[in-house]
Formats: sequence, C-alpha cells, structure tokens
Amino acid sequence: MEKLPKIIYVDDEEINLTLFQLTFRKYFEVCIANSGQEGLELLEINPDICFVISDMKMPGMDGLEFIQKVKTLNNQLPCIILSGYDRNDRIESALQSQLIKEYVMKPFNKNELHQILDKYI
Amino acid sequence: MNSSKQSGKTNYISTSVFGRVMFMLLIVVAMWGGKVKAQVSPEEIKASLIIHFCDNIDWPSPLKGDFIIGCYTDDESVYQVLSNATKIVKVQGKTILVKRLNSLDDLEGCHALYYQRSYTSDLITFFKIARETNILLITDNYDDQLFVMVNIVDEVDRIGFRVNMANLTLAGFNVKANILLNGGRVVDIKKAYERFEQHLKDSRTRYERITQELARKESLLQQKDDIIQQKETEIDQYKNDIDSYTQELSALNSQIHIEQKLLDQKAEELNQKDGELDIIYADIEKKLDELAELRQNIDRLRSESDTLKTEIGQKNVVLNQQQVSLSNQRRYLMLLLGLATTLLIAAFALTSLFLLKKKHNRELEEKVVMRTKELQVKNEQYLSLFNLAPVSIWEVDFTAVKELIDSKELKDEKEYDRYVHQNPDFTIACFRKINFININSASLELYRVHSVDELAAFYEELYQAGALAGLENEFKALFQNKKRSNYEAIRMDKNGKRLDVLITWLDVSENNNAYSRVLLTMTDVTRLRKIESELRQHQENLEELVKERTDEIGTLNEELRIQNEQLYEANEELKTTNEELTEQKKMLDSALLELKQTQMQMIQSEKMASLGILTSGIAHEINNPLNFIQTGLYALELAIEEASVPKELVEDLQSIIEKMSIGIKRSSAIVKSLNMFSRKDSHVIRRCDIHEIIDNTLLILNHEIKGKCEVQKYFTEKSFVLEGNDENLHQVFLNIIMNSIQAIQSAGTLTILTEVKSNDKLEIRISDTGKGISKKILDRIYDPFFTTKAPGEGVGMGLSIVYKIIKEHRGTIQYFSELNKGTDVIITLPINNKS
Repeated sequence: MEKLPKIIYVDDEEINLTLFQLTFRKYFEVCIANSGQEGLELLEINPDICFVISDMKMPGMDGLEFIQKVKTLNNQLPCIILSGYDRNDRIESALQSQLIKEYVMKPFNKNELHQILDKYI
Repeated sequence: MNSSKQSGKTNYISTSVFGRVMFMLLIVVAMWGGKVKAQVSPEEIKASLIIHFCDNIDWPSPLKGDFIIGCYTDDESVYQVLSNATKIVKVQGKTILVKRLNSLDDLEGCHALYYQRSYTSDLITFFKIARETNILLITDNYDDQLFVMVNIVDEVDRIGFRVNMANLTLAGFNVKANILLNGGRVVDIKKAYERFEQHLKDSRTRYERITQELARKESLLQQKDDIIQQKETEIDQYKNDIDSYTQELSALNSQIHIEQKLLDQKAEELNQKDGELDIIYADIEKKLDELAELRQNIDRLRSESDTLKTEIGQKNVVLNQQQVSLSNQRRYLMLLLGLATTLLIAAFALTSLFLLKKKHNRELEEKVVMRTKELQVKNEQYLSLFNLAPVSIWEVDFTAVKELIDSKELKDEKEYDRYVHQNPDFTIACFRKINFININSASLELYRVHSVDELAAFYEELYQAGALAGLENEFKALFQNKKRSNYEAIRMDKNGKRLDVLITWLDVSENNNAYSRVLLTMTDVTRLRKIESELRQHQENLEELVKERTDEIGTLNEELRIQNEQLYEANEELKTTNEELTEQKKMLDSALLELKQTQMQMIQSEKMASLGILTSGIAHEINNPLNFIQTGLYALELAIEEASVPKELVEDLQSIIEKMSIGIKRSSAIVKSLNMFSRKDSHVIRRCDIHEIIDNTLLILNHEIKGKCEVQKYFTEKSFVLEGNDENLHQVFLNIIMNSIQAIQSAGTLTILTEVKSNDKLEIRISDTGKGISKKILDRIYDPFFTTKAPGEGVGMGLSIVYKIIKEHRGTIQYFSELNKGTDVIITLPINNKS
C-alpha cells in the first residue's frame, strides 16, 4: 500500500480531531494535537508532515501564533486555518501576507477542503 | 432550556459513541485479540480494566468482608457488565459486590469507586473523600489529570488509562508494578500541572476581560442613563416653563377681561351721562323757550303799559284841556259875576233890564251848574280811572320840594351834586317836603298799605332805612326842571317783601305852578326780575354744569384714552408673549421629537452593537458543534461505504445523512448572517458601480424573477462617484429585491429607479406591486429575527443587515407600503461629483 501524505490538524476540541482523522483517513495520515504546543512537538518528531491545518481559537497559543512558530521551523510549509469564527482583520492580513493559504469556516465542506489539500500537497 | 441542553448532550454522546464504536471494534479486537473474544464492547473493556486496577493495588489496611465497588455513573452499561462479572471474578480473593451510588452519602463502605458523569462538577469532592477514606477512585475520561487516581482514557485507537502515582501514594495505596501491563501510562504530573496552570491563567484572563467589559458596559449604561436623566430634567424644566407661561397668559387674559369690563362700564356711564346731558340740554331748551315766552310776555306787558301810558297821556291832555276850559269858564263866571254885581247895582237903575237880565242869569246859572256837573262827572271819571288803573299811580305835589331846591340857588348840576354830597340831610329835607296828594288802590295793594298816610309814613320809614334808592335822581330831575323821568328802583312792601318797580313820573301841573301835580306810576316788575334773575342764574348754573360736565367728559375721555392705550400696550405685550410662547412651544416640540428620534437611534444602534458582540461569541460556539456533526456525517458515510450494509439500508442512511446535512447548512447560514454583526467597519471601501451591483443582483435572482414579474429599470444617466463595500451592497439589494419578488404572489411589476439628488445624494427607489406590509409590521421589519416567512425560508435577519450596511454607508433607508398595493423602498446613499 502506497504511503499516505502526512498532515497535521491542531484543534482544542478532541471530537473535531477524532472525526477529522476519521473522515480523511483514506487520503491522509492525519497527526492530531490538541494544542499549538503539542502540534509543534509533533512537527519536530515528524519532519515529513507536508500540510498544517489549525483551529484559530485555542487556549494558550492561538492558530496564527502557532502557524507563525511553524513557519520558523519550515517556512515553506503550507498552512490553513479552520475556524468557527468569521473573518477578521488579523485573518485578512494573514491571508495577504501569505502566512496562511486559505481560511476555511466550520462546519467545513469535505470536498472543498479536500480540493484545497490537493492543491498544496 | 435545561432539558433541551441535556438532550443535545445525549445526542452528541450517542453520535460520538456511535462513531467511535464503529472504529473501536477494529482496534480493540486487534489489541485484545488474545485475551477476549472478537466482539468485545467498550463497557466490557472498561469493566475488566476496573477489576484489573482493584486487583493490582494494595490497600493500606487488610480488607474485611466483601470487596465493594461503588458505581457513580449515568452510563448503565459499565455497571451492568460489572454486576455480571461478580459471579465469575474475585478481587484480592474476595467476592465483589457492586453498588449503585446516587449521592455522596452512599459512598460509605466502598473500597473502590467508578466515577463517570457527563457533568463532572462534583468530582473534586469525591476525590477528596476518596483520598481520606482509602477509596480507590477510578475515573472515566476525566480531563484534569491532577484530580485522578486511575483514569480510563478513550484513546484514538484503543481504550487506555492513566495512573496518578502521587495521588495513589497519598491515599495510602501501594501500586503493583503489573498495573501498567494493560496499556496504561503514568500521568506526567508536571505536564498536567502546567496544563492546569495554563487553564487557570486563561480563565483568569478571560474573567478579567469579562469584568473589564462589564465595567465598560456599566459605565456606558450609566452614561446613557445620565444623558436620559438630563434630557428628562430638561423636558421637565421646559414643561414647567410652559406651565408658568400658560398661567401668566391666563392671568393676563383675566386682567384684560376685567379691564374690558371696566371699559364697558365706563362707556355705559358715559352713555348715561350723555343721556343726562341730553335731558339737561332739553331742559335748557325748554327754559330758553320759557324765557323767550316770558320776554314776549314782558314785551306784551310793556306794550300794554305803553298803550296805557299813551291812553293816560291822552286822557290827561283831554283833562287838561277840560280843566283849562273849566278855569276859563270860571274866570268868565267870575267876570260875569262881577259884571252882574255891577249890573245889579245898575239894576236898581235899570229895572226893565233887570228882568231880562234875570232870565238870562238863570239860564247862565243853569249852564254853570250843568258845566260844573259835567266837570264833576269828568273829575269822577278821572278819579275812577285813577283808582281803577291796574298800575300803581301816585299823585304827588313837589312844589315845596322844588321851592326848597330852588332856595339853595345852585347854578348848575355840578354845584348841585357837590351840595347834595356835602349835605346828607338835604335829601331827607326834600323828602319831607313831598306832599302826597293821592294814590290809587293799586298802589296800596302794591305796598300792602291801607291809606295814603300809612304809605307816606311807611315811605319815610323806608327812606330812613336807606331803602329808597333813586330818590335823589328824582330831586335832581326837579332841579333840572325835567317834566318827566323814568327809572327802575328797588322798594319794599309793608310785609318786607322786595319789590322791583319801574317808576315813571310826569309833571301834569298847570303851567304856572310847576310840580304841583306830578303823576307817578310804578309798575311791579318783581316777578319779571325774579324770573329773569332765576333764569340768569339757571342759565349760569346750566352753563357751569355743562362746562363741568364737558370737563368731566374730557377727563373721562382722557382717562379712557389712557386706559385704552394701556390696554392696547398690554395686548401688544400679550401678543408678543404669546408669539414667543408659540415659538418656544414649537422649538420644544421639535426638540422633543429630535430627542425621541435620537433615543430611538441610540436604542437601535445599541441593540445592533450588543447583538454584534453576542453573535461573534455565539457563532463560534455553534460552528464548532456544527462541525462535529458535519464531520461526523462524513465519517459515517465512509463507515457505511466500508461496512457491508444492505443496499436498501444504505439508501435510507444516505437520505438521512443528506437531511442532516441540510439542517447543518441551514444552521450555518443563520450563523453566517449573524456574523454580519460582528464585522467591524474596517471593510474595504472603494468606488462602486451601483448599477452593476443591481444588475448582478437581478442576474442572481433571475430564476426567481423569470415568468413572475416584469422588471423596469430607470437608471440615471448623470455621472457620480459612490464609494462603498460592493460585497455588502450586493447583499443589500439581494435582500430587498428578494423581498420584493416574494411579495409578488403571481404576477406584478418590479421597478428600480436611480436618481441623483442635490448633487450629494443618490436615491434608489425599488417598488413592487406585491401584497404590501401592514402598518403594524412596518415598524418591526428591521428587528433582528423578525420574519413573516415560513420556517426555513428566512431567518429574519435580512433587513436588519440591510439597515446596518446602509447605516455604515452613511445612507438612509425608508419603507413605504400599503396593503395589497405594493411597497416602495427608498434608499439614499452619499455620493460626490469630484469624479
């Protein structure tokens, strides 16, 4: 069996993590972390992760802060935010500065998200 | 509220459990393959884990009796499995007794406690009691690792557990090494503590933020309250002012009323006085008439008296003539007598002649007797005339007086006057020389005396009393040898009554004996004079009265004029005050209106602002669970695909999943529209082509419009620049036009018109011929969540979003509608023509 592309999904909601993993398990090997810190740890262990999906609002480190730290590890890693919040100024500027490739709203559409993933991986 | 929340939670659990179960089956089987049968449920795994823990931990003191495991859980399944297991398995060589706990009180006697609750708020209490009373606490998926002893954890691919050594040791338990054999891990206390700390810190920051926000809101509220209170006080003040003005006004009105009454009274008085004056005038007129009449009377009397006088004069002349002839005859008689005597002497000698002569004598004697008789008759006639005359006539002899005057031998009037002046007794001496010959009865009557002597005596009395004015003139006339004189004098009768008399005297003496017989007539003009003087006085009185009245009227008129002026002034003042008051009232009214409008706007904007803050929070909280469900559905679809499920069932399940997806999409749409309010005003503003935006909107809605309504567009050809956010403006027109189309039930017209107004505004008018909006509803159309559409067709956010966007663009929106006629929406947006 061909090795699936490895991606990471960071969200403080366990349920989101579990179900996401489940939904995409046929297409991606999804590493999950329930905080930015855990995500960074996982990224260090798994340098083959090729895509980062993060929730925006999390305790401690929020999505954009996490992604900024990710960029210090690997500047080329494509990142997106998947959040229940509406767009705001910070998101707009992050999109403009290409810190994040896309901003996807929850509840996400599987096909839409899949297309985004295919586009960058 | 509570029940729905709980049921939601239950749903979520069952869904997640369902999802998990599908997956677990594979994992658990792989892991527990050797030990258990292929179909092992999570409950069974958990139950066996609980027994495993109990068997691998040593209690500080030896256990007595049965081994009691308390179950404090709202999941029956684990309890059921445990209960069944007691028949087969033993712990620490003792029979297991499973006990269902309902509260903290049931904990006594338990050796171990299985704790699994959806709400874990009381865990810490249980934890503390368990640690003190040596009860082994087994928790199921409890988040906080600091408050667990042994925690069962649902991991991604299996069911594991975490052991908190510190807590177990503190509770006096001794953990056997092989406890970890079944997939457990020791809790990383440091990490758990850090996580706890982080959580605490977050909570604190959140708490502080909320507190700050609350304080800010409170101060804002306070400020608003203050403003409202201030405005209210102002209004009260204005109301008071109006009240006092109204009172003043009514006071002034009543004053005017009183003054008008006074004026009326004065006018009435004036009228009355005028009437009186008229009467007086009439009186005067009458009196004047009377006077004229009296004058006529006097004139008549005068003429009568004149006639009488002439008559008397004539008679006197006749009398004189007769007397003259009589005296002549006497003389003749004397002569004849002398002749006769001579003849008698000669008769002796002449006897023959004697007889003849005797006869002739007799005849002569007869003639004389006859003449004498005639004379007597004449005299009697005169006397009777004298006596019966209606005017007082005196016959006086002034001879002695004249002699006395002449004896003084005064040369002229001057000398006479000087003499009279120097000799006051001269006049009385003269008076005493008057010889009253006769006076007629009219004179006696006039002076109220009975005889000439009495009159003479009375006259002297009068003279002594100095009441005979004018007498000197009489004497002077004598001196002047005047034959007649006329004068008016004041006399007095015997009774002391004043007499005004007109005195005329005429010397009728025979030629050689002047003033021996003077006729003096006195006409009584007392009544005439009295009437005259009365009349004069009356006239004077009248004149005075008239003058007085005229003066009075003048004063009154002046007073009235002044009062009138004052009244006019007061009236003017009142008018001005009234105008001022009206003006003030107008201003107050408009201020009140403005205030109300401002208040309404404030309320509306406050409503929108709070809704914005609220929705941004809610949106996130709703989107996450929606995401659970949606992603869960994707996972479920996958599971159905992979599991060998019968084809009919697959179709049913797919249909169910599709419907659930619709639900999620609908909820998500609501949340998205709510998000409009959490957006800040920092959207990109750029030049927009409003006509293109409207055309786009019509294009999007084409399928709704097609075959239903006719669209008429009248776009202005003037050029203008409109700046805004075209995404938001799209939404505005989409909402409004969608409403218009939906208002048209079968067929109708949609008219869209744009017009440049006063160079700085663009007016967009969207009219439909639809069913219209009732007045009752028209006020609420901008209220969030207000809708007349059926559930699922609209959330009721459309027009509130429209309102917000138009406000953000500094524009206005107004709805005009009539039931069954249609609705007009007028939007104005600011433009500029700088191009």
